[in-house]
Amino acid sequence: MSSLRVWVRGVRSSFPIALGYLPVALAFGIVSREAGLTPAGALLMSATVFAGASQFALVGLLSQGAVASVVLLTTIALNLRHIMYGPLLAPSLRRCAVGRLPVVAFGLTDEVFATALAQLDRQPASTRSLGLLGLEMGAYAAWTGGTLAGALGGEALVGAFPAVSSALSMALPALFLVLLLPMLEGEVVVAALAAAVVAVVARLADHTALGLLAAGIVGPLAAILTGGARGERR
Amino acid sequence: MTGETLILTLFVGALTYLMRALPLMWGARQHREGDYSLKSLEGMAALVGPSLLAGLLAVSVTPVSIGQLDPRELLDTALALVATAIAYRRRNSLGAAVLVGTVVYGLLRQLP
Repeated sequence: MSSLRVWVRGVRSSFPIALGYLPVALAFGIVSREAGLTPAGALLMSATVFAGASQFALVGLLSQGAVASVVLLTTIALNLRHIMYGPLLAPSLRRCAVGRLPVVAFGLTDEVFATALAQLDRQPASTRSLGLLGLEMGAYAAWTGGTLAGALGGEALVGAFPAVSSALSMALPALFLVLLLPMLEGEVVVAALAAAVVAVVARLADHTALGLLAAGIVGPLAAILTGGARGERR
Repeated sequence: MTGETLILTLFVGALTYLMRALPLMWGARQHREGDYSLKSLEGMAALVGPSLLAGLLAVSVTPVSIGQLDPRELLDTALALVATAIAYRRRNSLGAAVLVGTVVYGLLRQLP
């Protein structure tokens, strides 16, 4: 398959992510205008940060007059789970050119990571990084385009099509579910359940980011401990 | 955008990028150099990915506080996810399944 076709296939596979990103990006565009940013400023923020939670936190903290150290510490706390993404994907990208790794690293959002984790190993090793690049560029275009649309006229858009905005909020949960389903067998079910419980509890306690980090630790531990208790060999 | 906001935005962007890039490049280097200590973690790593996915799914359908829990919305979400799973089972297409789930949810939310 030609490089162009591999890249295009990657972009096409970003469609579910783009569906989920649009309402969130629109909302960010609206919120950033309310916080006093220009449309160009909102777009710059989405283009350089490309992380929803960090961006919303950044805008919120700035509008409250938070100091720089608080902003940076909050960013670290919100992004801690990203530290796990690279090592988990690295085996699938072992044939990626060294110079391309820093490029694909930029777009490793939650949703891109989830899609890549589920799909990369099904592609030929030599073309995975190009396919990943296409996936990230499709997601990035939706994120930045949605931000600009939100900043320029988001409230009018949402007001005109409230049902569509509400429906699109299901896109990301649906995406995560179909990515997870093929993995659910054996001890993975235990890990997934434990992780989900931890994440929900943390979310309800307003510690979403730490909850996701904890989910990545507690889930495997639960599976290993219950597997060990049953005396099963792994 | 003020100068301070611009600088903070660039710092947050750089920090976010480094937290993604450095672990990826470290992991890739470990594999290239055949670091077998990393191999011993592969069993654990096979569980971390699905755990993170399950956590992301759970968080994406959970409100930020107990006070915002809406039984009707939870039911609509559950039904939409069931429709998503069925669509994926039948079509084996990620995009189609996500679209079905989105449409089903949208329709359910419009019901009185």
